[in-house]
Amino acid sequence: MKMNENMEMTENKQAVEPVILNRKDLKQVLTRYVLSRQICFNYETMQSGPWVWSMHPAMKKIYKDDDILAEKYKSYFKFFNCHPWFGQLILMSNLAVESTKNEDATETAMDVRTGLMGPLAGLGDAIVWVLLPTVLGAIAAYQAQAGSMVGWALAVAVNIALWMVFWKLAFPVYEKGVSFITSKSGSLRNLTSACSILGIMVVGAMVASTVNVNITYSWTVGNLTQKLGDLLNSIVPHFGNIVATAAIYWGLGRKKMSSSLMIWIIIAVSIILGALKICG
Amino acid sequence: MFNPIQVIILALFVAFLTWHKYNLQMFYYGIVVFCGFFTGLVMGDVGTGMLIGGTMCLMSLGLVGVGGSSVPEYQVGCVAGTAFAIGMGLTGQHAVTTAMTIGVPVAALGTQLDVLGKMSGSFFIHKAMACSDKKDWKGMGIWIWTSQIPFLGLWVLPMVLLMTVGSDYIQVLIKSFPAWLNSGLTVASGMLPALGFAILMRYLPLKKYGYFLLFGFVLAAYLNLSMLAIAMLGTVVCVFIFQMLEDNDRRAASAGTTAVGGDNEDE
Repeated sequence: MKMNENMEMTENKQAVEPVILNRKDLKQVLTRYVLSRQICFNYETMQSGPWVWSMHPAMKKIYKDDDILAEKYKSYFKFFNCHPWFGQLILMSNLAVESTKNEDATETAMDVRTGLMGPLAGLGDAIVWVLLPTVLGAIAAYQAQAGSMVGWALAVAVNIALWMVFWKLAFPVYEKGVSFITSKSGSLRNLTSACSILGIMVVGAMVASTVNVNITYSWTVGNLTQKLGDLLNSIVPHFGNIVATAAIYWGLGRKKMSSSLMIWIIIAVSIILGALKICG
Repeated sequence: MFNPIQVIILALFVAFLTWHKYNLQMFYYGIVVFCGFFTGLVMGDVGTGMLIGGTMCLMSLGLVGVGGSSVPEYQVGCVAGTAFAIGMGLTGQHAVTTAMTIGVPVAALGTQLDVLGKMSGSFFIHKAMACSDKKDWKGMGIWIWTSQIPFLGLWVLPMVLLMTVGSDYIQVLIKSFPAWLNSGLTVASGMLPALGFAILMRYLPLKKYGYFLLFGFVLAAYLNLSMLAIAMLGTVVCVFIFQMLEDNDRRAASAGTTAVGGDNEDE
C-alpha cells in the first residue's frame, strides 16, 4: 500500500499511465445506468444523480483515490439532461476521456457531455420517443381493439431490438472514443431532419385515421334532411378531425396552456358538443 | 369489488410502470395496450381489457415528456380505468366510456403528480452530493435510490386508496352519470387522440417541412392505406431524403476544400 501511494505521488507529477476498462467494467456501468437512468430526477440538475452513481465503479478503477473522485464528481453532479438512451453513449465517451487520466480529462469530458447532450437529445426524441412509439403504438392499439395482441408483440419486439442496439453501441463508443460520435455529427443532424419528415407524414396520416370526430348535426328543409357532416366531408374527408386537431394545435400555442389543462378543455367541449348533438 | 390480491398486484404493477417508463424503457412501445391487457388478466376479463387498452393507447400517442416536461400519464390511467370497468362487470362500449371517466382524469392529474415527484428529487440529490463530498459512496447510492420512494409512492398510494376506500363512492358516482355525459365522453374518446398529434406538430419542424402533413393525410384519407403501409412508404421517403442531405453535405464539403485549396479533413 505504501508503495502504491508513493507511486501515485510520483505519477501525479509525470505523465500518467492510462487505464483501459475491460468489457466487464463497462457492463457494470451500463447495467447501473439502464436501471437508474432518470431516478432522482430534479429540476436543478435533472439526470446527473444516476450518472455519477453509474460511473462510480469505473471511475474508482481508473483513479483509485477517493479525494480525486470527490473533486471530479463535483463537476459530474452538475446539470445533465439528454435522451436517456443516448445518455449512456455520452457516458461511455466520457469514460473514454477519463481513462486517459490526463490532467484536464474531466474538463474535456464535461465539454463533450455539454456539447453532445442537446443534439443527441433531439435525435433520440425524434426517433426513439416520437416516431416509433407513435407508429407502432397505433398498430398495437388497432389490433388490440380488434382483439389481438400481435400488434403489441411487434411493437415490443422493435422496442427491445432498438434497446439492444444502444446497449451494443456503448462498447465501440468507449473504444473509439468521442470521435466515434463527433465524426458522425453531420450525419446525425441529417438523420434527425429525415426522421422529422417521416414523423410529420405519420402525424398527417393519423389525423385522418386515428382521430375520430363525427359531425352529426342535421337540419330539415321541407321533407329533405341535410347532414352537415356529409356536406363537409364531401369537400374534405374527415373534416371534423382536421378542425379539432387545428383547434387544439392553436390552443396549445396560447400562454399558460398545458397538456393536462387541454385534456379538461377537450372533455368539456366534447360534452357540450355531444349534448347539443353537433358531434357523436 | 376488488379483492386484496388484485389491489396488491395492481399497486405493484403501477410501481413497476412508473419506474420502467423513466429508466429501463424496454417495453415502452404500445405499453398502454399491455396495461389494459394485464389489468384485464388480473380482473378476469382479458377481452374488455384489450379493448380499453387499445382505445386509451390511441389517446396516449404523441404524449411524450420531452426535455424533462410532464405530460398526461395514460399508463396508470388505463390500469385504474380498466380495473373499475371490469370490476363493475361492464363490457363493450359501455366499459370503454366508464374506463375513460376514471382513467382520463387520473391521466390528466398524473401531470401534477409527475411534477411533485420531480420536485422531491431536489432533496435527495443534495443529500447524495453531500455524501459524495464526504467520500461516502455507499450513502450516495442509497440516497439516489431512496428518491424512488416518494416518486413511486405518489402513484401507488392514490391507486390503493382509489381501489379500497374510494371504490364504493366511485361506483355510485358513475352510476349517477346522466346519458348526455356518456355521449359526451364518446365524443371525447374520438377527439383526445388529436391532443397527442397537436403536441407532436408543435414539436416537429412544421415551418420547414409542414407540407408533408398533406402527403400523409392523402395516403390515409383518400387512398385508405393502413398505418403499416404508410409507415413503410414514409421510411422510403425518409431514407431518400437522408441520402440527399448527405450528398449535399459531401458536395458542399468538397466544394469548400477545392476553393480553400485541399484542406484535408478526416472525411
